[in-house]
Amino acid sequence: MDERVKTGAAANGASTVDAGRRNFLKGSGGLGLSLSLPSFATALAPGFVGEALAGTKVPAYAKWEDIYRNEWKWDKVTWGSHLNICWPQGSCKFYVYVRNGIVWREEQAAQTAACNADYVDYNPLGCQKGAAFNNNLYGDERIKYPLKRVGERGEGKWKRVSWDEATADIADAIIDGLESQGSDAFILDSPHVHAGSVANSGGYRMTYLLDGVSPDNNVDIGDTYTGAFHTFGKMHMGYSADNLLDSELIFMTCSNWSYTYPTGYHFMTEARYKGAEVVVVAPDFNPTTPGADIHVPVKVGRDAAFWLGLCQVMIDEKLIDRQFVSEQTDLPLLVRSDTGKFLSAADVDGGHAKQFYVIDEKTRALRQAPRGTLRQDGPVALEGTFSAKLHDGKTVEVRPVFQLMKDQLDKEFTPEKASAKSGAPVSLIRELGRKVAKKRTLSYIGFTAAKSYHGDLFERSMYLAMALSGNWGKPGTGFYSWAYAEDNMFFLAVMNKPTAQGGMNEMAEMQKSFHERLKKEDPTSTDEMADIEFTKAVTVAMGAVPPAMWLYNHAGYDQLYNNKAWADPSLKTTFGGYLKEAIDKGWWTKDHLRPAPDKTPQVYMMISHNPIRRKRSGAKLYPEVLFPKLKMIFAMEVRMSSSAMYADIVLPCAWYYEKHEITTPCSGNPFFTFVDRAVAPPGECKEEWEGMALILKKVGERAKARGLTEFTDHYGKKRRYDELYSKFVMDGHLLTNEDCVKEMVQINVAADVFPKGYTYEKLRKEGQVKFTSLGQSVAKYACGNEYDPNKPFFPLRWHVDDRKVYPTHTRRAQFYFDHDWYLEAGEALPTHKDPPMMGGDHPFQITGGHPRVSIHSAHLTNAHLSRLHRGQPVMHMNDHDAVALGIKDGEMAKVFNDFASCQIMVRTAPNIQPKQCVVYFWEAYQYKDWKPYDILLLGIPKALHLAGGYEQFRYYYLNGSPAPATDRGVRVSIEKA
Amino acid sequence: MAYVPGGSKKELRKADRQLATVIDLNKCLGCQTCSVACKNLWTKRPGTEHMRWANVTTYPGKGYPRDYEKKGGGFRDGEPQPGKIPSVIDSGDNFQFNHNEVYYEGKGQSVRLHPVSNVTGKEPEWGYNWDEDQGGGQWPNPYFFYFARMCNHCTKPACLEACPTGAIFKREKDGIVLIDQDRCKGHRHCVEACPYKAVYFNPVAQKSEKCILCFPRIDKGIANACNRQCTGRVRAFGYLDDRDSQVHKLVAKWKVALPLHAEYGTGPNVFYVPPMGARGFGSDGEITDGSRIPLDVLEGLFGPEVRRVLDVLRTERAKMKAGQGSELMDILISKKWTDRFGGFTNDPLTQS
Ligand code: SF4
Ligand code: SF4
Ligand code: SF4
Ligand code: SF4
Repeated sequence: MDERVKTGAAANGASTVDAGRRNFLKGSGGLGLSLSLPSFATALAPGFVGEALAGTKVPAYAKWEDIYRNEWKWDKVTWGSHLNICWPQGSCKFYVYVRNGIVWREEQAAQTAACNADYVDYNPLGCQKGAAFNNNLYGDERIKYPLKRVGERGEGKWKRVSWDEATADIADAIIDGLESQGSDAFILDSPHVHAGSVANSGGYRMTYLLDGVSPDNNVDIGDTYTGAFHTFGKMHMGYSADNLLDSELIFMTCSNWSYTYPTGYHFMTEARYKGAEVVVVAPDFNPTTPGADIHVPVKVGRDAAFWLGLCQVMIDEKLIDRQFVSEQTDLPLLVRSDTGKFLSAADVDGGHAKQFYVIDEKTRALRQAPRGTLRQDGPVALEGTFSAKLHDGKTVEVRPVFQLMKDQLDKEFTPEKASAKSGAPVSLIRELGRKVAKKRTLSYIGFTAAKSYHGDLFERSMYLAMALSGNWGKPGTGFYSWAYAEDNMFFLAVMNKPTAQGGMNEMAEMQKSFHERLKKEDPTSTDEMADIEFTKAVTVAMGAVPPAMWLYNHAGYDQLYNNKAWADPSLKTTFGGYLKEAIDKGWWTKDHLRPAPDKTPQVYMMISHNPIRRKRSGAKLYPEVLFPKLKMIFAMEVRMSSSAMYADIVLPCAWYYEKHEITTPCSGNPFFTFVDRAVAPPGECKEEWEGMALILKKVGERAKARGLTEFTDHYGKKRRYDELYSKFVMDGHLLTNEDCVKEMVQINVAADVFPKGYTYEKLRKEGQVKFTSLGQSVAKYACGNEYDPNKPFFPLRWHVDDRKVYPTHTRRAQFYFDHDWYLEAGEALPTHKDPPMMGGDHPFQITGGHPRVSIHSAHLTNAHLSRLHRGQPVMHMNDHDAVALGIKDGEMAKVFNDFASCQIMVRTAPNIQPKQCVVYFWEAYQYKDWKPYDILLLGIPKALHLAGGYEQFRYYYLNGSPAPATDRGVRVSIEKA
Repeated sequence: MAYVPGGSKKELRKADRQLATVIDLNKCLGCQTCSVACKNLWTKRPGTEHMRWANVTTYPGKGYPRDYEKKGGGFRDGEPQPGKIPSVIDSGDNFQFNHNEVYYEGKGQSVRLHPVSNVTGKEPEWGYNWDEDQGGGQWPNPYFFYFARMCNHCTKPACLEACPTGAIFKREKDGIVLIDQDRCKGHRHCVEACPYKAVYFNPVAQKSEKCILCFPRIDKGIANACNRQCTGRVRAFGYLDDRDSQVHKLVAKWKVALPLHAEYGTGPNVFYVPPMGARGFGSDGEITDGSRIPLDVLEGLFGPEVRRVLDVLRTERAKMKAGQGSELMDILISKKWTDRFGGFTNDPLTQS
């Protein structure tokens, strides 16, 4: 930004609080390394200074107003934001005010324009966490010096060490691991993007160079829309938040914008004033519902039945968009009644196994459904029963998928039956079925869908309702805002040389070769399909793997996943049984099963990543099963998380405003924002990037000292220890965060994400840039629409307007899976199943999600933000349920199931559905005995998602494979503690 | 006449113009950005830590300070009413935490991070926003909305009336109610008298303090922090008599923004657009057309005008649905965020 330094503003009135913060910076800086533990503990304590000074200092003022006027003073202002913690809505542009060498406050710059004058602008753009972030920098949870464990893991006994000593220990452990177990020994438990775009790339780059393993972050945390993946062959197809303004009917479901999308919430209330109706579908009258017209009180885990009820109404009342259904979906494709399989050319004339058929509506004859376009050659039959002659002479009965769907809906999902199953009143099912059919409809389905055992069925049923009503690929439609141009992070992780030296060209060439190869193999294939193949290859190189198998093989989750009492009774075998079959069939290979089952992980690295908080039941299984196997656990952290408490070494890192960074936005709020280094980080905190470089440098040094030159990667190839550092920093090109941000700007220009000619200097000056395209990685094709910065963004237009095929088995939005596993399990069509009794036969069902005043656990233990609520974990439960259990508001309850138990304060409220209980998450160490509610959650993935052999049943970076995070609706009992 | 310390009450409450705020309860998401913005700026100083000049709670609920509506003050038939002083706990407390014990004292899982009251040193039983998201009604018709409050910068401030030293005055140019911190002797009559309990006692300075309407910002043409930083775009601000301002249009022209508890008799200058509410379910469990928020609940807050206002909102929204457009809805949407602030649109980059 322009130099806005104002001088001479050293304010006496404001200085009391600032002085405390300066003391924080000094902290224990002068301490030697050999202090006894208790005195060390006090020395580490960064006393919050306002309190220390309370009662001692009331400055006298010449003029009373100066008390206040002197607060409104500062030394300089820089750009800032908060890195990707709040992905879909974040990237907010802030002024960061520095006074007396500390960040004193921040305020939204509010310069984020509307796409055009007909739409609402994004301002002020910035939430309570962001507007209070300075408190995090100076909070008691901050880590300022490298710490080495001297007691038991989790005991909280530490010794302060130097970076040199800490990185030497880590380097030795990495080498020991590589030598004894090969590269499967090194685990980066996926870096969280909230460490920053640079730190995130750095983590992957480090893993890529070490040939380590990184359980996929997005899948692990349950942020995968499996239903979307299976229906459309992809999930990164978001819209911009202003797209809500083009909608007439908005469904907010499996989400809670009031907590999780505060900066975008106004688009919802403003769309409502513009005439749209807002419907919240959720078990509880959740904190978003005060802004809605209608609450649909579905029972926990029973959403699919609600959506299917709407579908039944639309079909029954003949309200569907036949043309849309005929082109976009597989609903006209014919299915053999004898086998349940799609009728294919292999059956009819010995042709292509994936050439499917429709019935021509006029001639009533079989016709091939084109594979290279969605366009049908004339009207097709949706209803009816037909016969088809096969090349072996047999005649078989065939029916369009639509007919099968209709039969199932009429049998099981009339409004009355759908109501009984879902809990939604009959009148609402009828009213909303009719409205969806007539109105331009949009949904925001959140990741509660991805975290529900049958969430794929919620999604598939919802997409079916949107398909029947022609509600996608048009302005004011779409399902969520999850898409991002992440080229800056993705390519920085794997590039060999800088963009200026052809680094991006190299990547583009590689990408192109995939496209050419696939086109040659199958001329009806699309660029999107080729890009998925390319991404799969990069995924393997980066060491990203499906997390469910890692947990199953190495962290003790097999005992949960294979528990028959908790499993879906309609499955033929256990998770392990399905896994074995899938491996035998070659659906999962050794690239996916890393660390290999016969290897033992040795080194476990965390970057601002807190598995003890968020790994379902991890607070029990990690310390009991995983950690004892590990020789080294280390955390690169800004704050003391529950997981850092279990680390052997904690490396202190720079936080936002203390390092150069750039946000990587989602389509919801499509702006990249610059984060300046407003102040130096406190103590010995370093940028993560620099820390990682130090570790790799140390690996080279220690290997040399130990007489080692090479290690063997999992392909069996040799890699040199002494090249790790120089490769990581691209021969000195990427030494600091600022170097990396500069490179990211160039990557984004090369990938068309930034305007041609855009520079780092311009970014520094302007602080924010709107993206100009979705780049060259996954989202480019997944979104299926060009990005126009002057209009709201919505996905899937290429498919609707240009009839481009989908990357699925049938090349259409697919509602019928003729996959054996799905047929056997009764999920070939979208249907409803009650959630399994995960956790045992207990009367309550837990739901939850992100808390209001913390994004992930980043702000959870900050005192300033903790004073905005009860400051400790609470569980919301229905007031009548609480009375029945003899528990009063504010009392402690014991919550337990077959697996574990925890204690938590009860908050009673009529807005919680009877027999539901809601916990928004907290740090493990905020609970008695550090047993968090997360310990109850199990996170049993849906075994069917191990299926392969279908185009859309596959894994690549951030996409696909079973999500080990399905916790919504886990069963618990509650009693007074 | 300008502020004369200790001057006559009539002089002290004189104002040529009046700044006002409109808070739209249909848009508020309870995010607390406003309260955080105020705290960061004004109440981190010693003795002010418990104060929340800008505050947001869930309604129905006890409000902030706790049970402020039951603590008296204000006027009835023009007569000042006795009032009570909220305790520090009522006013939010200031929880303290044991981070260092948990992290560094080697106690392992035997200790947990938890708050203690800054007043009692014990586990807290109440604090700021303690009853968040609890609300009222009965399943399946629970209801609640978020209620953001601040000092009303009243036209007839009870605080000013009650101050024995004449330290409280309205700024003549804009009606901001301020407590002269030199002159205040900490009598706390103002705390008792304000029916909204918007004055707080600073035990360190031994003075009463309250929302200053961010006057150092206002003086530079910058909207006040709680209003400008509101992420829900809930708040409009400006001079009540500025016909171009949204506050004027909402309060005087469209008459859809109502004062809170007008019956307290202080002439508050913060106005609320009442919540439309989600539709309720009938006794048969099926959906009805009516709001689930009982009308008498809203009337208890904003008086008998509520019904009319809700009708206006419904009618104008129907016009938008029908594609006929509505000036009122356009204002409440406010495509351009800067339009909300009645000309106080300078960047927050000019310091005192
Ligand atoms: S935390 Fe995220 S949403 Fe909040 S202000 Fe910062 S960037 Fe915006
Ligand atoms: S709200 Fe209370 S403190 Fe504010 S001006 Fe009115 S009477 Fe005074
Ligand atoms: S106007 Fe300023 S002082 Fe008053 S409540 Fe709002 S932020 Fe606080
Ligand atoms: S900042 Fe705005 S939306 Fe958030 S609580 Fe305050 S008034 Fe409501």
